[in-house]
Amino acid sequence: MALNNESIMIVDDEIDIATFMKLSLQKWGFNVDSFTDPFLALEHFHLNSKDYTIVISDIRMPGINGFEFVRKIREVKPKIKVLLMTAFDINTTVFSEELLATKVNGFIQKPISLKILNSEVKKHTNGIKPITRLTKN
Amino acid sequence: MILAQLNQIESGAHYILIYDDLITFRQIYSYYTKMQLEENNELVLLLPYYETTDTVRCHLRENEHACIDVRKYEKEGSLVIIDSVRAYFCSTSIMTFVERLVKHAEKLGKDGVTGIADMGAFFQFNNVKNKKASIMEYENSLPSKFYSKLKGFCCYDQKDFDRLTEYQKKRLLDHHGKGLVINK
Repeated sequence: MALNNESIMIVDDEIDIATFMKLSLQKWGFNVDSFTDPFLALEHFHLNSKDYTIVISDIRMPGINGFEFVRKIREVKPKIKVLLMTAFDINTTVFSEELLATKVNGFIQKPISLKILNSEVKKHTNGIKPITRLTKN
Repeated sequence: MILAQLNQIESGAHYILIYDDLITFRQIYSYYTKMQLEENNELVLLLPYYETTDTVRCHLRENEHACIDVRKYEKEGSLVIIDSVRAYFCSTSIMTFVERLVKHAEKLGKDGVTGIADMGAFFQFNNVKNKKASIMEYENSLPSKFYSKLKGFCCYDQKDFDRLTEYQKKRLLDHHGKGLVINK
């Protein structure tokens, strides 16, 4: 049972990445929901936005890109923290132009190590305390 | 069925290809790239969007139906893989580059060039109206049929294609000489 009602939402169209990140963050005690379909994620967020403190989204996704996804998330919950992740070069003109129109709290460059993922998420999750799991004696 | 159709495609063809998901698309481009490189003696240009160029290399090498010697073909210049955002937005006109590739292919003794481009890059822009306009503008700038040594595939993820209006979809389908829809 979850002891903390603040959760992290992960959105990545690659199931391996979404699952890897979810399991890693859960291992450190965070509540995490992962989605491979950004539209389902949006629908879920509309219904459960109060549960989420941070959203981590991929940028290149078919149907809706990460920037558009973030803007839609912010329409529902303007102060939510957002991290965008990508395996691509972010130092391009096209990327900079897009970034001007979308406020994000940070970037995660893929492939990412577990250590960096943990520290990046902790940097932006002041309100979320990882769940302390009860251990058997 | 689709693979058999691909085998029949002649030089000069300009196809629109709509794929269901990335896994299906990978199977198709891996198989077709191998065939063009190894059986049809062509130069292949790949412009991916939803995966990195290194991921594409990995799939071409490791796909059980492909097993392409990527390093060899890239070194000799008959396989060119570029991120589509760079190809479309950060360099000289893509068609100028393709024309250079056709000349390069002739020098290498190749029989032609096959271009496989993911159009997902055009859906990255901020403003939806401009985005749709720019993809239509780009597509309309291309001929319905290329000159004889080139064949091209404009590839759309079904979810991207569905973002276009019915009118735009029809115009795109009409504009391309031929169309292929690839389901799982």
